[in-house]
Amino acid sequence: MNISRIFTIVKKEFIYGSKNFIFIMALVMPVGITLVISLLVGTLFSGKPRLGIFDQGSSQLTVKMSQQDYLLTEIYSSEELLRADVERGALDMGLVLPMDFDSQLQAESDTSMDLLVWGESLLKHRTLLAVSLIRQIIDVAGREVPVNAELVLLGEEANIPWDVRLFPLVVIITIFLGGMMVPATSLVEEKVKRTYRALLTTPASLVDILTAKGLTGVILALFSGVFILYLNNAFGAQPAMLITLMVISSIFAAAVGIIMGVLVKDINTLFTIMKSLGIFLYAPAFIFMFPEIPQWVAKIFPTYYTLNPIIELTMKNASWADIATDVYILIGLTIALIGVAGFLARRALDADA
Amino acid sequence: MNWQTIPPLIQKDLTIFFRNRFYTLITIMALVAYIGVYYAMPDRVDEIIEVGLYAPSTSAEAAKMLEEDGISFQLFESEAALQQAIVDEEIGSGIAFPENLFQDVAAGRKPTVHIYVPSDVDNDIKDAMKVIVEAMTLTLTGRSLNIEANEVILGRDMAGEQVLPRNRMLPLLAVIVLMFETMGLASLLAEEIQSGTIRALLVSPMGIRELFAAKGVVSVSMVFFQVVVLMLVVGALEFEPLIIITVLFLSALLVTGIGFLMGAAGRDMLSVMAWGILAMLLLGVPSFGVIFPGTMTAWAKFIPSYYLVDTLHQVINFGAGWPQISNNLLLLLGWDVALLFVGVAVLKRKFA
Repeated sequence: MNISRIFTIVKKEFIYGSKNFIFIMALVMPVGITLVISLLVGTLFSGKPRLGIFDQGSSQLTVKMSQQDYLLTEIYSSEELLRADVERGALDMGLVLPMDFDSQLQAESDTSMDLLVWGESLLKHRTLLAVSLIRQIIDVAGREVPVNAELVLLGEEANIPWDVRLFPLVVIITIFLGGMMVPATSLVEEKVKRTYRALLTTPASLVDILTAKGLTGVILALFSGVFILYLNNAFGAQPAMLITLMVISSIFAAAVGIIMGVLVKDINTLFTIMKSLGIFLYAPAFIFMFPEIPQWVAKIFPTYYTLNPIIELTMKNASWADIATDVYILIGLTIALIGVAGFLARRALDADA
Repeated sequence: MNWQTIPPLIQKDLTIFFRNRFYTLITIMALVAYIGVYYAMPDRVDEIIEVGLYAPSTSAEAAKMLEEDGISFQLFESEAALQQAIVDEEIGSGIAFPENLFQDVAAGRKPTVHIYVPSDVDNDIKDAMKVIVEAMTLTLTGRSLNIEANEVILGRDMAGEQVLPRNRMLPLLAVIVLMFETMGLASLLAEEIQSGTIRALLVSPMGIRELFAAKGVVSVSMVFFQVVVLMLVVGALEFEPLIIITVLFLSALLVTGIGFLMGAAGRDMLSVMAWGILAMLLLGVPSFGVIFPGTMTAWAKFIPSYYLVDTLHQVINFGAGWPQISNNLLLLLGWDVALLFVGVAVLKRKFA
């Protein structure tokens, strides 16, 4: 295996392959699906209230507001910048705190602050920001809240919102569209255009070519996957482990893509196989969508082991111990698939010779 | 210019376009789908937090004291009824005050207020509900803070008359319809260049000006027709129809120029689609500034579709008229001239 040759082929794949429809779709489709899901289940327009603070002193209120997870808080270095961002709608509310805000509050003297409100901000966002300010000011002023507020959770936890149910489907489509379809299409196109044989007559070996095709798919799947996680705010508590898992899952998908690319002779057959195989690839995501189906059924499908650890990490903040078994199975399956891909490619080459 | 040579070419192009089942199907299905997406989206803005309230003996007074612009309270006769309403998903959350709230607070005791939320609600909402209750009980118990908040509303105050999410989406839908249609025509053009039929046409009595005029008419009319149908069905033509029609026509010219460029760059349907998706992404950028306000800065004005998007947004969502959008239309016209000129020049070089 020659690393420099592999990267030369990868570079070629990105320069010429990027004009390919599948290549573009691998990047665009996951974003499109996320957008459509967000639109249909109504999460797109119901973001967190956004607050900007220009603190002329160093108030504790600024620190406390920044710690509220249900708000997006940004600190500004000038009132002009804050005002400009409120005016263009980047913030729902801007807060200008005077120099001695905390000391005035604690002395119970008359205190004032300027609130800049964006005209198009939702009433509920304005209210939530206002009550949050009141609540944190109570703390800064050193006053006591007159009641204990106790949360009581009602109903069954199995009631999963639809945006959560559909998320695994987006993840699996992202990984397989880039990871599997790009190498498969690229290999089949090389065969159709008869450049596959020409490529094999260059100093690049069969392993170099297949690795480069697979690596292109892995890079693409990883890029789209990370972007989708970012869009869905789903990095969880262990982003490094999550990205490692995305890499392994992308290699798994790329190995499947290489096998298909080696076995299939034209694009139409490839798409027909994809249509038939699709249900098996995406089955775990469909099973996850309906909690009424026994969830063990999903474990029958190999793609479950690419999907489940990612979902556990992103949505349940699982630990390594929770996902270790699935990850070991995924690594085993991936190694086996790489072996099968290599064997089939060699056999196809020998048969052609 | 030999005008008589143009109609047969238009007829030929339309016949070839509709003979391509992929584009014909995509054209019809996509238009229906965009209209469907528009109507599937919420037709109201959910800007009030609705909370169930159980406050024994003082319900009405408590609700009146607590009610703010952004929160409305639905009163319940018992704590059990409130809980059941949340389980039945009739209301998103609820607050239950204890029997002697005011007396307990006055006596220096710290009574417990129960906040009921569904178990699947996310942590942000749980935290927010707790903060709402803690801050409001301060008002309820007459312990308000001695702070003067100088509130200034920047921009037009849209409280209570927010722009509908689906109307924020409309400029993006318009851009997608415009671009998808252009891809079909660009791929026809690309295939004609590759197969050499364009050169064959030029040896006929048809000149190069007639050729571009015919291609331009086909493109503009197809694109313009569909985007007008979209606007008509979603009711956008109720607002200043002449402005909307003008901006759509100018946009049809714009994408025709881009279509000429794509036709020159592509070799076949797949490569034109790849270029087309890239162009669509770029032209779609300004519409994301409408969907997610505050995400765009002034650089979006360098993207020609900004003037389509901004005009539609201003007219449909804010009732703007000719004085507010005339600059947009002029700049869009400028882009049209520039892109059509470049598109024609590049295409001429391609088959010269």
